[in-house]
Amino acid sequence: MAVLVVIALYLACGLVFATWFVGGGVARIDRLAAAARWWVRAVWAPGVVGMWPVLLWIVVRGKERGS
Amino acid sequence: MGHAYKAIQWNHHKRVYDAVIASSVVVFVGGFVGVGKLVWTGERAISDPVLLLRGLAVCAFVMLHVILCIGPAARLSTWWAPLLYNRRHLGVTMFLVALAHAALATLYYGGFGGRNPLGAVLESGTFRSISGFAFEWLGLLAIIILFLMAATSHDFWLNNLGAKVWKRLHMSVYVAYAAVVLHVALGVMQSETSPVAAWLTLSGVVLVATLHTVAGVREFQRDALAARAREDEWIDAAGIDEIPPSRAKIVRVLGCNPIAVFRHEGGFSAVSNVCAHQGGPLGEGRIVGGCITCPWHGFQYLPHNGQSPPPFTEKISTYEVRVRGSRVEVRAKALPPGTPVEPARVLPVERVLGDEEQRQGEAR
Repeated sequence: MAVLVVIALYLACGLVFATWFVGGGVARIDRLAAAARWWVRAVWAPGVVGMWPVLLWIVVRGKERGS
Repeated sequence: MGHAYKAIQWNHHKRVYDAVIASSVVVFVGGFVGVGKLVWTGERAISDPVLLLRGLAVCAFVMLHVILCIGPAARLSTWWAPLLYNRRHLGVTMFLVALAHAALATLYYGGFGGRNPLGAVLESGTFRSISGFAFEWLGLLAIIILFLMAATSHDFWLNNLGAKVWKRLHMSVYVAYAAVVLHVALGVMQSETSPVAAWLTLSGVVLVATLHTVAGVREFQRDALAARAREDEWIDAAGIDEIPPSRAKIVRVLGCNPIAVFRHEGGFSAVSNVCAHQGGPLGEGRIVGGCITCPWHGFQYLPHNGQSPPPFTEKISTYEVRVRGSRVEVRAKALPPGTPVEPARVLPVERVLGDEEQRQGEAR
C-alpha cells in the first residue's frame, strides 16, 4: 500500500535525523537544550521523528531560539 | 519554566493529578470490561480482546471530550481551573490510551493473515458507501494528529517552534476530534443495534459545541465592555471588596492586553493577564505561596514585579495601581516586563477622609 510505504519512509528519515539531533545537533538551535540530560532529550525523540522537516528547516536557517 | 529543561515538571499537585488520571483510566477500562461481560452474554457475548479494545476506545473518547471541555468550562467558572492545570498530561495519557486501542484493533483484526496487519485493516473498507466505509483511515488520521500533539507537548517544542506555530499545531485537536467522531459514527455504530452509543456520541458533540459557543459569546461580551482609555489614564478596575484575597479582577482595555489586578497581603498589584509561557489567563489563576500562578500550567510570577521567582527568568508587564476611596484603579500604560511596582494599599478611613477634604479644599 503506497501510503504506508510513504509513511514508513518519512519515519525512517525521521529516525536518522532524530539520532543526530538528539545526539547533539539540538545544540545548534537551542543553547539550553545542549545542557539537557539524555533522558530529557529522549522525551523529545518521538516528536523529532514526527517533526523532522520543521526542525531541519530551523537548523538550516541557523537561527537560535529558546535560549 | 525557562531555567533548564526537565523531562517532566512535576510538583505535588501534578503528581496527584497524574495519579488520579492513571487510576481513573484503569478503573474505567476495567469497569467497562467487567460490566461488558455481565451485560453482553449468550448470543451477544463479546470476546475479551474486543471488550478490551472497545473499553480503551470509549475511555480515550471520553478523555478527549474532557480535554476539549475543560478550556471553555474554566472560562465560565474557576471551579474547573484545577482540571485545566495539568491538561497536557491528560492529553498525553489520552493519546497513549487511543494508541493502545489502535494497536490492539490492528493486531486483532489484521494480524491473522500473512500480510502487514495495518495494511490489511486499512484495505478492509471502501470509500464508496456508508456501510462498510473505511473508517479505519479516520482513526489513523486522528492517531497521527494526537501523536504529533503528544510528542510536541514538552516546553522544548514551544520554545523552538514559537508560540504561534505551536498553538496552531495544537489547535488541530479539533480536526482529530472530527475524525474520531466520524470514525465512531461510520465504524462501530454501523453494526450497533442499540441507539445508546449514537445518543451518547451526539450528546458529547452537542456538549463540546455548546460549551465553546457559550464561552465564546461570554468572551465577546467582555471584550465589548472593554474600557476606552489613553495610555496615561487611570482606569477604574473594581471596588476593593470585589477582589477576593489571592484572586484577581481582569480589566480589559481596548487595543491592549487585558490587565489582571491581584489582591495580596492587603495590597493590590497589577500585571499583564497574559502568561509568558503559553498566553494563559493569569487573572483566572490565584496566588499560591506568594506567587501569581497560571491556571494553565502553573507558571509563577511575583505580584509586585511580574518576575518568575529565581532561578526562573520569565517576566511579564506590570502596571501602576492606586486605591481611591473604595475603588482600585490601574494605569493603562504597561511598564516594561519585570518592572517593580509598589503594591497599592488601602488607606485608613481617617486618611482617606483627610485626602478627600484636602481635594475639596483645593477645588474650592
